[in-house]
Amino acid sequence: MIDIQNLTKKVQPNQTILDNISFRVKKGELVIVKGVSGSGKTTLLSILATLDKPTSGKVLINNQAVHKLPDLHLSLFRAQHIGFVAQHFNLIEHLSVYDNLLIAKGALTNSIKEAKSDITKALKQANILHKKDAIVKNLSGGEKQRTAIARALVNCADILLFDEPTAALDSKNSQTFLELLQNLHKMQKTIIVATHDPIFDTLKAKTFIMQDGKLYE
Amino acid sequence: MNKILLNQKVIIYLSIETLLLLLATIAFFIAFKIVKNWDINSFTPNQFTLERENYLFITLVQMLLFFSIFDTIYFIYVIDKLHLFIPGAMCAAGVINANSFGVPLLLLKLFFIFLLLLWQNINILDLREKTFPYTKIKASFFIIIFLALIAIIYFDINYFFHLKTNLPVSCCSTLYGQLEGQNPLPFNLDTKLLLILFYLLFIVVFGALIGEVAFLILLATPLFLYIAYYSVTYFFGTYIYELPTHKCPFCMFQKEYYYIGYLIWGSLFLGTFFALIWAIDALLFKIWQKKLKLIAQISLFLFVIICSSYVAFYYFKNGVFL
Amino acid sequence: MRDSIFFQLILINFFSNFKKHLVTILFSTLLLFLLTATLFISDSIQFMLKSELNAQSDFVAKRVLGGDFVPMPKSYFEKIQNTIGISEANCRVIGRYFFDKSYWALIIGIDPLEPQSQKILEKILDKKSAKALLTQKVMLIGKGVQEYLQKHYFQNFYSFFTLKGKIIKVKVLKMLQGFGLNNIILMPKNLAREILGLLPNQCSDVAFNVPNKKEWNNITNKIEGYYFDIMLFNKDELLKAYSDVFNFKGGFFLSLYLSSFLAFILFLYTQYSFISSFEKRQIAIYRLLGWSIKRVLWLKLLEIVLIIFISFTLAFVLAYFFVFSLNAPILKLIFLGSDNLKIFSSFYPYIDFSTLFSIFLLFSLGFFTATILPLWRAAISEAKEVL
Ligand SMILES: Nc1ncnc2c1ncn2[C@@H]1O[C@H](COP(=O)(O)OP(=O)(O)O)[C@@H](O)[C@H]1O
Ligand SMILES: [Mg+2]
Repeated sequence: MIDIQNLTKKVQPNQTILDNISFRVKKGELVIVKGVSGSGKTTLLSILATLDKPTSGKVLINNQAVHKLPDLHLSLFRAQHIGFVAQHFNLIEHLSVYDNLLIAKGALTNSIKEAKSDITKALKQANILHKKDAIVKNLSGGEKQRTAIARALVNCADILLFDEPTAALDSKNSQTFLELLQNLHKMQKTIIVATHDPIFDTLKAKTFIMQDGKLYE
Repeated sequence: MNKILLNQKVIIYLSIETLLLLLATIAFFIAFKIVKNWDINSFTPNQFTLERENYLFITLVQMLLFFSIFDTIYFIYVIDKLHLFIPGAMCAAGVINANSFGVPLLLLKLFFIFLLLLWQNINILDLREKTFPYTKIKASFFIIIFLALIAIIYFDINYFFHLKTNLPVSCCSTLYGQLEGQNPLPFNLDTKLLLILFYLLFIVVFGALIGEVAFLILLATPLFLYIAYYSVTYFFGTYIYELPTHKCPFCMFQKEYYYIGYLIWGSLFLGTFFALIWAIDALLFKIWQKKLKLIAQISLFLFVIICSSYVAFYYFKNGVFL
Repeated sequence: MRDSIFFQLILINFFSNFKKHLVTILFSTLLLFLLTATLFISDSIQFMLKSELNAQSDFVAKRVLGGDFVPMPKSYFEKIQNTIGISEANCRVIGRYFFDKSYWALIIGIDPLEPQSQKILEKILDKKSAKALLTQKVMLIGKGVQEYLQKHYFQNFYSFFTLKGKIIKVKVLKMLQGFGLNNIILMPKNLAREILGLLPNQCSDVAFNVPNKKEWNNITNKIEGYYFDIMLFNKDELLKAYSDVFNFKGGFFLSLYLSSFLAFILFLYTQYSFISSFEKRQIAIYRLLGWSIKRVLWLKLLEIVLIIFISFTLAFVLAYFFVFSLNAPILKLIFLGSDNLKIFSSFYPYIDFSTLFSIFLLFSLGFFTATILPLWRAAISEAKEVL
């Protein structure tokens, strides 16, 4: 469950990026946030992902007020509950797919034995198991994205955030992504996708429109 | 130029102290900022910076604790080795008593470790919570710790600068030996009473740990530490050295006695420190930490067992007591 | 260890930033190597001196006249010998023989039938040499003496000039092996007396042992009370004097190293203060995945621990090889000075682990102090900046 109340984000006293936003997302819901470039989608997602802090307002995720947690607890919360697939994937390029997932597991455990089965499972779910030992640098755009998705799934996060997931994909890969997204939706994950791609209009989902830092239903 | 200051071991020791002071100074500045500006309800970038600096602060103090423990062990080792250069000294006892700065320095160093352990304990409690409940206390407390370190450095400098290689000092047998008709034991105890008190206090402390009577621990542990010091120096030590006249808390750090002093004094201080911290937690913060209690129990038990077994083995071997 | 993700990631990060670390490792290994090698040399010398002194007799009594040591009559020796608490008293015949102005050797007269206060002599005297020393004009010589003889074309013998102008030909029986025996000649006591110019009822000095150390003070007072022209020297005093010299020397070198250590700390600070965008991005990704500042900082610190261990191991192995296999060329000359070189032909592989440990303590503390601020600055890299 995500509950946002009167969220405002300012970078300078006079520059407001997010302006008094309030909304709720129920568990297992699929939500699309649409908006042109520069409307504040990435900023909103990074606050939801607990990577950024609001200037004012409340952010409650799974009944936890995350806007004012110490970094130690916040990081733990992030590792346990949030899977974030960023626009540029944010993989470590010179490492293998497996090592990238190992880093994610390393936030919660120190045992490789424990991590291994989870990694295999996540790679299977994201349909990238065959590239397990490949170096990320050598992967195609679609494969990189699936690696990033696997990494988001590896700690069994219940909230998945996607930022512009189809921006770097051709139409065929975009279609594959939509199928994957629907699979994840079936797994009862709470999913929020920020995009300006009309391809998502075909999906049956709750949709918000973002404009100049304001959110409309 | 004082010859002692050119001794390799002293140079290394003083360098370590300097580096520790440097670490502590950085931590002190952050602690000062936290005490002054910490506001958990504020959403300003200033507060976020402070929260990040808080983690640097924690790591610095943890490092300080880690290296201070080794530094203190090394200090004892150094003064033990220095007896070669101080005329009249047979072990660390003569060296540490060579001027009036030595004993306070050693006690301060031990107390410093206790303070740091207590700090680390509060830190653990603080990090467990989601509201930084003790961060400000922690920072204020560190300022006191920092002052203690300044005092240590002051004594360090004075001690080593005033350590003379040409002035003869007394050796342990004069320092701890009984002068005619004079009883070195506190409260006018004799050896028998001392031992009864020793085991009695041990049972009280141990029992209070099992029964979790924090108040009693806080009272009995310092007393036990005090009595234990005299018991080891004036009774158990003689069995370690197997000589009824050899009374010294320091000789047991030497190779001849298999460095057992490090284990004996180490386990005593570890046990009493952890027992005290456990009691402080229980009284002040209403938190009962199982791990602390367990470490305290094991260390104290180990301490008493080692001491007693020296006596027992001597009896088995020779059929008599000293 | 093998099951630890932390350990795995430390290795991964170590190799990711290998170039940066390599420079650090090179510098720190060099510094540690010099330091460890010097310590090996000084510890080894101290050990050798100590074990040589341990093989010496506990006390030597010498007679002083005109501010210098002179031979003493045998009656002194008999009186000392009969003191209770003293064992293995020996009327020694010992003195320098000048082959020419620039080279001398120490002649030690020896009687295989007497008890030896110097344990080292007991070891040297096997049955065959003992027999020869009793019956013939023979000598046992150190390596330095042998070299001198060879240089001057003497084969297996040497003709000594006595102080009275007599020439005595003495055969070489055997070479002496071992530390401190370089410039030593052992020969029968009476022969030594003749060559050194001592009268038959004279000793150079008296050496003896006092097995019960508690009586040392007592005996010293007693014997110095017998004769006013006698001076007693004990083993511990010699040991203290030797240790003093080498500790002083080691301390001087250590001070030099410490100044370079300071420079090294500054170097480390600047080296790790520069955080590349590549590194920053990596850490931001860790943070994005739920690594806390504390956890990242620890990961980075453990990377430093790895570097410290690598440098230390490398330096240790190199220094060991350098000092004990190669015999510390150059460094030996600097440390000992050319005068003392002759005595220490090779170093006995003795390592004092406590000095090693103290260096490790100081070095790692310095390493952490230098890098903790830069590492923390890297660890707080914001994840939102890479989105
Ligand atoms: N740290 C920042 N400092 C200044 N301006 C920023 C910062 N972060 C974002 N912005 C501005 O906020 C607006 C929203 O950005 P963003 O959230 O990335 O939008 P979107 O993802 O919808 O393209 C942009 O105009 C951007 O320039
Ligand atoms: Mg964006």
